[in-house]
Amino acid sequence: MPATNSIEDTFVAITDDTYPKLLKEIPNPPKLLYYKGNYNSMNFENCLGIVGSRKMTEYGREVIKYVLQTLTHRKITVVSGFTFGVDACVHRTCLELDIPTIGVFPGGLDICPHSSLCDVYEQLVYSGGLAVSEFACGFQPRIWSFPRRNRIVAGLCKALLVVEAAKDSGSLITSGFSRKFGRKVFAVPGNIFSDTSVGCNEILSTYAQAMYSNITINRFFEISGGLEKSKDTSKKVRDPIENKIVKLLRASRMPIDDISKILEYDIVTTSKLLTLLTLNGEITEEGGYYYASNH
Amino acid sequence: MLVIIDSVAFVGLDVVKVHVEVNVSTRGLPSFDIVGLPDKSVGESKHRIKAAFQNSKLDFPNKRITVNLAPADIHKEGSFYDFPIAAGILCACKGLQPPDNSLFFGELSLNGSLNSTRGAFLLSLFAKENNISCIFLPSKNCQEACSVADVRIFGIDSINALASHLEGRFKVEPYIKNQISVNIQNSVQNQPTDFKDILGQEFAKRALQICATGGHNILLCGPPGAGKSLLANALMSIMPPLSADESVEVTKIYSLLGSTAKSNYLITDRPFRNPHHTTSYGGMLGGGNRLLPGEITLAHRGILFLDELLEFNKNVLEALRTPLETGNITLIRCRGSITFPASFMLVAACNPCPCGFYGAFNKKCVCSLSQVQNYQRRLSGPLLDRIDLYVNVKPVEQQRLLEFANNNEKNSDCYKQQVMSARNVQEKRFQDLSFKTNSQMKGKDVAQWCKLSNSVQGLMKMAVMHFGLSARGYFKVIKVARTIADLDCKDAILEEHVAEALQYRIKTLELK
Repeated sequence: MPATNSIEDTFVAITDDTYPKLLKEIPNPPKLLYYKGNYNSMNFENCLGIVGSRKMTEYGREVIKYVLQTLTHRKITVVSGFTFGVDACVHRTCLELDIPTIGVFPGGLDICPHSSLCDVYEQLVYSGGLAVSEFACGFQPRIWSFPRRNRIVAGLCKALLVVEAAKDSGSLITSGFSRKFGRKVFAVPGNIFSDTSVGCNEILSTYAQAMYSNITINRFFEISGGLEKSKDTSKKVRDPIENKIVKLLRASRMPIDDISKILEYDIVTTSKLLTLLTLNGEITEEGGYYYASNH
Repeated sequence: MLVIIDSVAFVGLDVVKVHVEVNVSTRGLPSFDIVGLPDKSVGESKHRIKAAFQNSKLDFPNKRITVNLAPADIHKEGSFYDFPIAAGILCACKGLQPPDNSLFFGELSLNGSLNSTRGAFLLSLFAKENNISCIFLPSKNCQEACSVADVRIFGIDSINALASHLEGRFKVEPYIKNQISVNIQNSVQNQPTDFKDILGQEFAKRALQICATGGHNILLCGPPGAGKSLLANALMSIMPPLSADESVEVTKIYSLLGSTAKSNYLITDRPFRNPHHTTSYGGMLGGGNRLLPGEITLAHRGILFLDELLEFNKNVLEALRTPLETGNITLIRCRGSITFPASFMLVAACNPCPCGFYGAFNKKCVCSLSQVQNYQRRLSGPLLDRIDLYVNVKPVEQQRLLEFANNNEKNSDCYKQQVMSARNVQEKRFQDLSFKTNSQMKGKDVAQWCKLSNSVQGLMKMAVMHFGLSARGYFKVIKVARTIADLDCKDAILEEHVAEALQYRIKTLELK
């Protein structure tokens, strides 16, 4: 661990005016906040943290897309922990939708925490995003540095949204900090049998508020109503058979064999219909299960 | 006195004629030497021949015997030189004329009788191609050798029988093909699982039908106990039988290994090889001291089923790339290089993660994400690229199992009928080409046989955008769609065919 700062390091000190105000309020704020990318103190005004499990499911992906779609062109910055899984998905989607986003690193900013994140790292650092950390360049992430990172995520944000979290997940540490710092915590309710929703459901029963629609978050950020959805998908006239499939999948996710059995279509027809519906974005597939998309 | 008897040597699947020159000389000290690059197994012949002569009440000449196996620069191995050498000695000491234009082949037992030997089918095939009129070989090998027409086959029981045949005391009659026993063989083969015995799994069954039709490679992925191995086994029940040419190709391979010894007939069922995941590099590809064919060659024209694909040694898996593309394997070792055919259909099964339950909703996966990633990364992109169909096999729920206790699943014959008719369509289509199935089409063939209408092209364009299909992936989908159209008895590839084909594209878990 290099004790001295390298030339590459850029940082704001706690004494600077540009130091994030909300972060100053937490019990032990980092003295120096290293950053890489486009630092703009305005971006720290309205921060929403979105965190979740590393092992994410299609459900999580859908939720992230759904939430972030409503946040475009608002002055809200999305903060996340820059790990794979939910965090990476959040950053990726934000960069796609042109939402300002901040990645909080568990180590030095010159180290991409995981090889699969290299593309997001490049984008985040070099195309408009921002990466911050309390650790200097060259610091390798340790087990203990992750909870410290979580403290900063919680500290930066007015509100935190937990998308998917398993029991004893690191995301629950973040939400615990948020609660301690007196910030709002939202959680996405999930299937009680799903491993990746146990944590969410747990905090929902204690201190978190349920995020059951896009209005929840927008209202918190004093935005009236949800964002207008693109009209074309809802207007499209679906085949009655296709309608049946979508309806079925809205009730629960299902593998192809079950769909064909329940609707009594042969497997050839079912295959064809599912592909067409997938291509239209009405349903999605993961790990052999089909899900209805949210529109 | 010098006697020359003809026999053969095997170089891979090729057969080379070998002259067994036996010189019995009255000059010099009595001895018995075999020269001409013999292997240890050939060297042991001496002892067997001596004992066999004595036990058959024949005089073994107490003279200087030199046996030369010409050409002397080819390595000779195998026990089948016993018989030609013994025949040569017999002729030399009794002053008999060896039969013209004949091949001798067989292993001697110490009591003078002949034991069955591997490679009889290759021998008779060689005899036919080279216009050799007679073959003398152990009677136990007659069935195997007689699958080839136009060659007179003499089944010899013992060295005494040969002596009396050559002396003209008791002529052995040429062997006549026994038609009845050929039919028995098919029923004796172990029966594969019937599709009607597998509950549910319609999607996987359909995928297997497409594989059987177009010869596509398939990957079945799912938690333990979902029925992957059972499905792969059932695939055999809908595979079309071997054509006459293919049958000869396959029988040659098995004859070389002596595996036809039990059945002794032409092989008509497609081979199904299921090597264990600890199979070594040599075991899979072929090689070893004798440069023998490996599992991929044994699966030629049939199915190579790799259960627990990701548990295989990575080197072994990666080595499959070339044979999957070229349909053969060239083994280059210090002993020489040999090319074996290896045109097989790959059927692979794997779990999604080390514990097996990743993505399963009813059971908890106990693997960490990096474990899952590492596990899936064992399957390299290039290998994945050669797999045309991907099926996520879900376990049938227990409730369903009870529900369908009185099942009315379609049996294998229903599937097989469609497969056969679609195979005929393909055969007609590719009659002037070197291959027979859709999966073997190359770029230009795809352009010729898989013309897409504008609407279908539009759909493909959408699919490329939505699923991020690669160029190879694109062609794979079209090839599979071609097979589906064949099953549907349509000349043109329609939207529905492409839509169905897209269901089978590779869908590995996105772990980013």
